[in-house]
Amino acid sequence: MFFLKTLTHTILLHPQYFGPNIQACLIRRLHDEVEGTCSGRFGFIISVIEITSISRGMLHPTSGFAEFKIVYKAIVFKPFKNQVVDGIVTTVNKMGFFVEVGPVTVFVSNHLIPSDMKFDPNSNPPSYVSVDGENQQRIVNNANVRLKIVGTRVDATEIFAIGTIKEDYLGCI
Amino acid sequence: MASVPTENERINRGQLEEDDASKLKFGEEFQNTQCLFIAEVKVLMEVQKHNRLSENDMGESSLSEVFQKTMNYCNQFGKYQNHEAVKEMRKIFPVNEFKQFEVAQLVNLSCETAEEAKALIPSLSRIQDDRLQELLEEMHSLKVYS
Repeated sequence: MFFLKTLTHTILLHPQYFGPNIQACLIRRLHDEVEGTCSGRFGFIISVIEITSISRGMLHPTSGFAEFKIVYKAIVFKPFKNQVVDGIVTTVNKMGFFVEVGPVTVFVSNHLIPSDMKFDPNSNPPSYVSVDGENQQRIVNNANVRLKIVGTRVDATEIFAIGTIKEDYLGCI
Repeated sequence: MASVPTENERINRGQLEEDDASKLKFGEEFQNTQCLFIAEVKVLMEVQKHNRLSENDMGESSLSEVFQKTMNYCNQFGKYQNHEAVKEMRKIFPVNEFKQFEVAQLVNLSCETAEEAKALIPSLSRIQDDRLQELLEEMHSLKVYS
């Protein structure tokens, strides 16, 4: 799910930047330091939308660096357990397939694919095909699928999730 | 025989409560945070992209990988292209009846029937089928005319 969240970030600024453009410099530093980062607590910070406030700089007595606290609003993305999402298939192999949901990669194992869908090793590119007659479903690279997240694992810089399509209303769309 | 600890007991013992979208539990950081539709994210990101590109002339390479991935995703799944339709969507679902997360899920997944909506978003089971169906039809009429 995408959220609009108010966050704070602290920036240590080198004295060489003290001057008339200090504000612009701080904003640029904020964009560089937070955008594209990921943490278990907030998920992915995708883009800073608005600067709410910038505190007065506090000088560090020993180093000369100034510390600024910036309050800002950003678009963040965090996947939750049991949430249903749409995504784009990136790789398919006999273990299952990978789906990109925004910045997050979700793996769907072949245990969590309905039993009537079989891996077709002869197709190129590889795919999963449901065998029942007329309504043929095929999961292949770049296909859009709807899946449910069953679990997430948080890394220092990335979030991985496991998904299932073995339920009603899930699968190819 | 040891009994299974209840939810409150577990919290008291300092164990983390697990987030679960089907029970509308998002952890303390996100419990009451504003949810965005994919279409809204798309609109916001396009403005940001425009600002960044006009600031420097490095082109698309100056945007982070996460930004570009998300942009692609929003282009693929951000239905309801026009701004007015997105605004109207917000008004269809009354705030006192639906949680923000549910509204965002209904719009993002563009559910067609009440049955489908309830299967995909289990927390909606408290709402009457007829009522939900009525609102979903209203939502789809906007999609058609936008």
